[in-house]
Amino acid sequence: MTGAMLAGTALLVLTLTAALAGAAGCGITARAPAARTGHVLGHAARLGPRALVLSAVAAAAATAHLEAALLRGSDALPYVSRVTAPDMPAYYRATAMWSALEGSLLLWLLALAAVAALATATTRRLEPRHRAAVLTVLGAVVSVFGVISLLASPFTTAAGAGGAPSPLLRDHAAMGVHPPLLYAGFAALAVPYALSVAASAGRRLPRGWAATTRAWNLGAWILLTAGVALGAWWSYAVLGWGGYWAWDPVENASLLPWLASTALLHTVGPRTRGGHWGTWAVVLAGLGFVLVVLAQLVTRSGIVESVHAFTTSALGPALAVTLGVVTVPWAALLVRGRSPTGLPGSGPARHGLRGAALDAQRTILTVVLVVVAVGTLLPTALLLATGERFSVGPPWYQRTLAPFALLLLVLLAAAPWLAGRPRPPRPLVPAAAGATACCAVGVVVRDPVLAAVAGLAAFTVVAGAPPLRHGRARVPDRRTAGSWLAHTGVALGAVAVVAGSHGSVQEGVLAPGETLTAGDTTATLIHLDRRDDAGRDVAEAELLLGRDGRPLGTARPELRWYPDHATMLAGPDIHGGAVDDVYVTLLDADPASGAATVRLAVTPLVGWLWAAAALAVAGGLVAGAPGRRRTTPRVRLHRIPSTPASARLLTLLIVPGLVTGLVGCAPAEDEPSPAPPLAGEGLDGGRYDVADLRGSVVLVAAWASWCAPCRDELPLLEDAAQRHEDDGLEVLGINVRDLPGPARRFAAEHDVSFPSVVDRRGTLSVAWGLRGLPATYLVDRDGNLVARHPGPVTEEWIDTVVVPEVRR
Amino acid sequence: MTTPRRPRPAVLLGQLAAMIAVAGLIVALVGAEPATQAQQVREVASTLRCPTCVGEHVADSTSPVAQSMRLVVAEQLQAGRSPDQVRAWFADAYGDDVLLEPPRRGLGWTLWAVPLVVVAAAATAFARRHRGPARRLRRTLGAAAATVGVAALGVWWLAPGLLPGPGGQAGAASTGADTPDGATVVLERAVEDQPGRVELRTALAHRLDDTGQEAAAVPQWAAAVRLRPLDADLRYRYAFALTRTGSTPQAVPILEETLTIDARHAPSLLLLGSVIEKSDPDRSAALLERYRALRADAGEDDR
Repeated sequence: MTGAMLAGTALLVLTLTAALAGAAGCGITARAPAARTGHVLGHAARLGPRALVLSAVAAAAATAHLEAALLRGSDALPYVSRVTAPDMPAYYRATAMWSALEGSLLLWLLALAAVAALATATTRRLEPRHRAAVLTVLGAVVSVFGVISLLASPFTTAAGAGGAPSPLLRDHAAMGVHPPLLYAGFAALAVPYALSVAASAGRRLPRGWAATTRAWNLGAWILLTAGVALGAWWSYAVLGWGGYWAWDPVENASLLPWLASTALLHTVGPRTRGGHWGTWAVVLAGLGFVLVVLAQLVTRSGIVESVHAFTTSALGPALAVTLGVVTVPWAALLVRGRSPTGLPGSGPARHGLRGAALDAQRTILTVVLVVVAVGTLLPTALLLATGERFSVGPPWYQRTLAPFALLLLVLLAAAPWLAGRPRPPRPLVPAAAGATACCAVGVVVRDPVLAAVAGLAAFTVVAGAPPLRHGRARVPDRRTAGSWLAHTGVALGAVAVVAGSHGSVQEGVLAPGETLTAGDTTATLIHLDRRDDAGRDVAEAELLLGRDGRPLGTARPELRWYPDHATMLAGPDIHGGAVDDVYVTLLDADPASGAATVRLAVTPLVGWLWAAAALAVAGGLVAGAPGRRRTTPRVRLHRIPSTPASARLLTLLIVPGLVTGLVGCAPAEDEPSPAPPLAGEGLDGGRYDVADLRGSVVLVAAWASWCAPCRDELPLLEDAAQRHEDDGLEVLGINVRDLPGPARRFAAEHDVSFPSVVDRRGTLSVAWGLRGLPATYLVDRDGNLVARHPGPVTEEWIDTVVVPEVRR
Repeated sequence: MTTPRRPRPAVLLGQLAAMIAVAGLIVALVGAEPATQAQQVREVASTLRCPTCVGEHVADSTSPVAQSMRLVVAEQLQAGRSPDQVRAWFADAYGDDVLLEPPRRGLGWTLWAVPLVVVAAAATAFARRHRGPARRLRRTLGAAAATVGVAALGVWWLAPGLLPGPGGQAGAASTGADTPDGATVVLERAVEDQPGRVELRTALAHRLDDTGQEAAAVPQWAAAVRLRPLDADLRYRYAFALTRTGSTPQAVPILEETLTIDARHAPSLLLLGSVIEKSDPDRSAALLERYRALRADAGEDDR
């Protein structure tokens, strides 16, 4: 172990020890009876918070130590050589810290420790014992992740076989900012969690609880909104697939805490209290961080299939334990409560319509959260439990979430009346605006859903506009203005999402001068350029964009090939406008003929989405900016109720539902089904049909001349065909997406004796369920498809599957 | 105080606004244009998972399998099969996990039932919290509304086949709705702006050739050759455009010059050989012989 490794590890140990000491110190204060603040307890009360600050300093020092090593390119730490390459610019060296699992865990530890240290300074509004309880929980959380960080430490990790970092991480500057933003937001949710645990333990909402929860939650919400939006923008602007949200498990994992945070924001705000807010606040405050830890498990354990996940790591069990440590005590405390009454405003008579609407808003946000969680986790659970694979994709989320999104929009439009403003707006002007928007969009676009959403959005924007000259105050109060900005953002975002389905996409192979048309937009290829740029091979196409004969500008999409990683990255070119985005991607480039495969997508209102996110963040900042403290908060002690009835009911209903679902729908046995049709012209010009071979066992082998592994399996197939020829084994090939010349040459070079049906466009092999080449299928004497073998054929497969079928 | 009999203007205006909004919705509902065939293909393809990619659907993926799958979707829709039948066909070939909306049978059913249970539980709990002292009638009405809502959701999620489908089959396939002139005009403007860019000239000339305006393409080819006089391919295209528009005599010197620049330029050999076939048969035969020799050297590697 080198000195640098020792120093880093020592700093990590110091972080852990200080956090433990802080948790212990604050714990003693929290448990002590208020009357007996003796000598020892006084020390503990002072030292506990200081230990937490020390822990944050140690975590910062560990991060600085790692960053220094990364920037210097020091070889004392194997991690440095794993995540950086010698030719990397300084910015990407610095951000390389969180490009692999260990470094990102250290960043996460730093974020948590910093939040705990900040909490020591910002929780003074709470009663001392309550504050001590909150800090105890935070210290414990930091300790748990301190242990995780020591288990997977960037200071002791081996170099690994990973090689240099993925080029994707140093292809765009946004990738350096997105993780720290999200981590900061996630870590800030630890404070509401600690407040939730402390409130459940004390079975009451003490003075300052709601204000402190709101402040930390709002901060977390701003960071998460910015982080999630930046992630979506990066996915849109860099990845080149044309979308911004794929409902991928890892994306959803970051959305879940955001949803919890949004619901909490509309629960603890001074104007949205009401309608059982106390119970909701305690549950939602804790839920956010529980979901954060769940997200860590999903992202880092490799249990879920995702584009974004870190590679499979051995940390799964440790993270599962962490999730248990965070969830179980919190849930136990929540369920334990025994005073069902005493909730502020729990008397039914005090709810009224406003209380019901506020409650409905939280209920719907929570339902959305649970549905997204089901879609993210249930397929994995089913796979682990039964081995059956299901995909849950955008159509499922659309169908399950759309009704609730619409309900939320209706409530959003009613927000000015629900927020308990002193003078709610008159509904006539917003109604006129909404009706006009709805009618205009309906007549022009002919989409009823978009018309309804546009109407609601216009209503929301106009109704919520804060009165500029109201009473004595010339400036609208910050909370009204902030919520209006954020709600305007959400309304515009909803319009943008629905309008996005009206886009058009075209794909085609273009020679210079040829044109691709999507909707009324044209893209004409001018020329294709190829250059070598710092270790990567860049193909750039130049296309002239036009609409109805008007020039729109020039697009220069790129295709970047990193030979060291065998990775191809697309560099789409986006022409953003107020009405729509023209999105041009270069899919393939053939410099010999100068032809380019280009994809042209025109998507309406994508720009509104980024504006919407910016408005939401701005709204959060306006509403949360520290202003004059008007009055000292009133001393109000709230009792919180016992187990939320809804939680009990949910468990009661979900468990039997799941059980009947699992038991009642046992998977059907796999029965041999008739083989799909396969008939057509062969490579040698003859006609072949698998149906003509009824009575023989047929091996159907899909291959192509461009598929290297196909070459290796050919001798095995030939050998099997010859050995079992007399037993009635036939081999029939499918030549998939190949050119006749190379295919014939390939067959001649490798002495392929069996005939092959030509499947130029790949459509015949789709019927066989072909995923990738090579693949081999076994058809029995009755013409049933009895076995599939993806990948190169092995001798073992022939001996154990094919031979028994032939001898049968 | 207004007289009790006459409705207040605010109420009237509110009703007017509601009517305007409803009118817009009705126009949208009735006047919705049927999806074109390309849109239908995209719609179905976007509900299928690309089997070789992570987290991409067939409509967006660029993998070869996805390209073939798109073709199959188009073929089957063309043959008059419904989107649901196409999806079922793919589920047979690739297994249920090719469907991005899980099937409503077997275990896939759980993925629809669990959200419904969640919604029903949330609605029940909400109703219990807000029982209140309201009149029995209101309470019954509220409960009925919630039940109907959850039931409608249940039908939509678990058995969407029971609901009326979105209109009939798509209208006639509008094949591409090409707007060739638009693109040409845009190119012409770009050439006017940057007359010295040979790539723009060439692209415009190609475009004009492709859209049957060979005569208009000739000056563009000429300009391109002036800008890059040593480019044999460009010279050949220019000469070819000249022969196509009947100005063969002008093409001959250009081709001859091209062959002094690049004596092994096969297309120029072939073109010059065929152009002077009548006027100078011997030389034509020699040129075509050279062309055939070049082709034989190059082998059959061409596609």
